Amino acid sequence: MTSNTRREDEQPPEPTSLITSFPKDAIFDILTRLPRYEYSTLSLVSKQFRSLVRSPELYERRSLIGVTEPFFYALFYDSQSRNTRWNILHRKANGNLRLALIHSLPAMDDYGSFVTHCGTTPQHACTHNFLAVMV
Amino acid sequence: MSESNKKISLISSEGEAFEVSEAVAREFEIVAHMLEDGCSGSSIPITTVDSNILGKVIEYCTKHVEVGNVEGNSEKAEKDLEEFDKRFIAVEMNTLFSLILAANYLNVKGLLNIGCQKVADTIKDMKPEEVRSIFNIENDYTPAEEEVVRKENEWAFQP
Repeated sequence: MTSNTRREDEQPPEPTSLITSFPKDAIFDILTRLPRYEYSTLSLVSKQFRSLVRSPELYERRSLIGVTEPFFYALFYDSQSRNTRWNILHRKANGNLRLALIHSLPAMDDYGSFVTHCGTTPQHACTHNFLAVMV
Repeated sequence: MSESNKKISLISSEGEAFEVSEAVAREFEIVAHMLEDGCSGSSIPITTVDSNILGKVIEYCTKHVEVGNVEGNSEKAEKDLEEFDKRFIAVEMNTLFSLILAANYLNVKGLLNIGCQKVADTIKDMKPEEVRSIFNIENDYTPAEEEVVRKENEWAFQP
């Protein structure tokens, strides 16, 4: 069976962008100029971008050139349901700050010594501050 | 004859020769190293850069050398240079990428700097679909994979 129908959305493939063949140095040069919250968006662009923004090398570079960003996490603990919820202090596009719930962080059984950790995690070259709040 | 009058030919990937002063050629760090290493030839092949892009890189370097040579560099000269940079880098995406690749290869730090900054400014505050479209990047996630990544980063997308 032959079909003469040609789907209208079929177009000749466009050449792939040069950016996907950039040397790592140049890509990292671009990525270190962006605030870290942009990395969430970039990780959705393609698998290559996700792997780049998760690469420890990128955070080493940020550290080297002095563009680290402090991140603030808060752990909320509900003593009745014994549920814990991780939140991150996040600056919205309009500049306002708010605590955003992070679903992807594993739940914790208890609010033990883990949440007392405070300081710098050099492998990610950023200060992670933690706060435990009981509600 | 003074060193600064020496001319050097930079040969593009198509074989076209661009004659520039040694001072301009030295703005290409890769060329500066060659000259310091005793490469005394007056013609240097730049095999990975085409004529169009090489011409632009030379234009950038020439302007920066000219301004750098002005005695008692004034604030106005610096402002003019900033304006020049801004106009120079306002090009379509593929040209911008080619300029960054060339600046990276030739090691022209100032050009690499403004090129990378331009791309970063373009990406900033864009949605993933917009980044894909402007850079012509294919979405290689399956819908299920995309959902997983979206969940991981959900906190950043909450309104």
